[in-house]
Amino acid sequence: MSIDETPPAFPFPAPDTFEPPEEFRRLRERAPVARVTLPTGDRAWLLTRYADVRAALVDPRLSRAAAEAPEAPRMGNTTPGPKTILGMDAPDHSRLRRLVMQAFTARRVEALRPRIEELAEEQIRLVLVAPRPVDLMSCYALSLPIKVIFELLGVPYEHVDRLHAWSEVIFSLGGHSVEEVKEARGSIIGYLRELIEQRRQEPADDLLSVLVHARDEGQQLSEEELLDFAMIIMTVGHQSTANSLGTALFTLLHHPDQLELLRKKPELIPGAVEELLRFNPFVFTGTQLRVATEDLTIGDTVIRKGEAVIASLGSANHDEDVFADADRFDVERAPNVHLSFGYGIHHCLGAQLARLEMQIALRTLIERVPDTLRLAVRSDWLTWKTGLTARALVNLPVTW
Amino acid sequence: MSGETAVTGRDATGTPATTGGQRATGGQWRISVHKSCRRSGICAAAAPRYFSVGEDHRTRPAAEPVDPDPELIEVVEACPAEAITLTDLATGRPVEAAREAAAEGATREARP
Repeated sequence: MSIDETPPAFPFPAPDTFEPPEEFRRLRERAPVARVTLPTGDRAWLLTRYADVRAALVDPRLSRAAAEAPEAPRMGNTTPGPKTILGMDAPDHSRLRRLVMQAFTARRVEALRPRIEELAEEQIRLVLVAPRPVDLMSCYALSLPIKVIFELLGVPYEHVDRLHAWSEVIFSLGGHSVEEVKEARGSIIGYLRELIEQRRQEPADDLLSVLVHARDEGQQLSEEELLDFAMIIMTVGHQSTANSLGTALFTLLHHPDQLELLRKKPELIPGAVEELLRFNPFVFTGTQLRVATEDLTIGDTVIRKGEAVIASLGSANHDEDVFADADRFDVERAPNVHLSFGYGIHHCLGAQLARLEMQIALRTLIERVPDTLRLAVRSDWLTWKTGLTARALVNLPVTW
Repeated sequence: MSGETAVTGRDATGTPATTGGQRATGGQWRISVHKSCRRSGICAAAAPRYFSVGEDHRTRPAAEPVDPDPELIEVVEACPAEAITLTDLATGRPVEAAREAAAEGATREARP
């Protein structure tokens, strides 16, 4: 490649099928640390091998805070923000994470199981009585995670429509202008500011009250951090789960033999969820870009201070060095050491909750919807959206 | 299966406690990572001196007993799978329990 040649555009073109972009395979084999051009025109180093991706995610020299600096390379028109847990390094990151961690441990999340099952049952009843074809995305994959996270955080469900619409703007890669993103973010923050004032007057048994208490009694975070934290939990907390669940349902409908296997052996569902998370060929990064705080070497490549590094979880999850027959979807795959929730200090705070929601959503769907369940349109008629780290379905019309 | 220790540091030597006055825990600590580990990599990233990830992708604790370090308690608390335990080799008890007892004691003493 000559010096002035423009590096290939990233994200790579959307796959038409369930094959991940061919570029990932080629890069893993030939150029595991590759220069790419981002939608903003900025450049970045793209890591595609499992080993490099995981090593990068535990490397403190690859900083999220530096990626939030005004002059830092950008993926799109929005970033999580320097005052969010996603835009910080240790020790600020650990200070904030510690405040809510207890709500997301495996044990605490397990205690939510009966409530999530109740919500899944409510949603599946709506699916069952809806006129067909019914959109599983809006009626199920989206509404269940929204209800769960709104309840956990303490956001009234009646305001779901506008909150979801605003978060769609924030999480779109290039679909909206910088001004539109700023406005949507401002609207969410304004909404949360009012809600937080209400909690100050009248604390409740929810995560928002926990954060308000940590702010007011313990001075453990600033007002801006409090607002941004609530915003991240609410938005990421429903968007990422809904998108993963929607893609998971689509994947199963596309692999009827595997779906049939889960009907016969529902005990395979937890493992199937891990495989659905790993297999998702529509994840192009799965995590936010990092910026080097000093010169460093990955493989044979020198990364200079200030340059951006993208660790592609989607590619790592299809690395044949770690996953035999990696492009095959196999609900019985074991072990399954996928990186879909990231790795290291930024490992998804809601991972246990997302897993449980996906398990319950799958089980409820399989148990309650007749086994003639199928996609109502050709799969190439489905509409996709491009988010900050993955593509996701806009709709998923099914019938039975 | 839960609670079963999957990977621990090598056999503890039971190094004698260095009971220094007000210290809540006296001995060295042994780090254990249980089977419930979900490989978040949080411990390996936050405290690479104490945790490493093997070829088999499993997280392993430092093989030898380590000196008490508050950073380790933070890591224990940060594990989403609650899969890490610290054992005080002087008492054979989990460090967390000793610490909580000490904190309680301190609270009681602080009362008028």
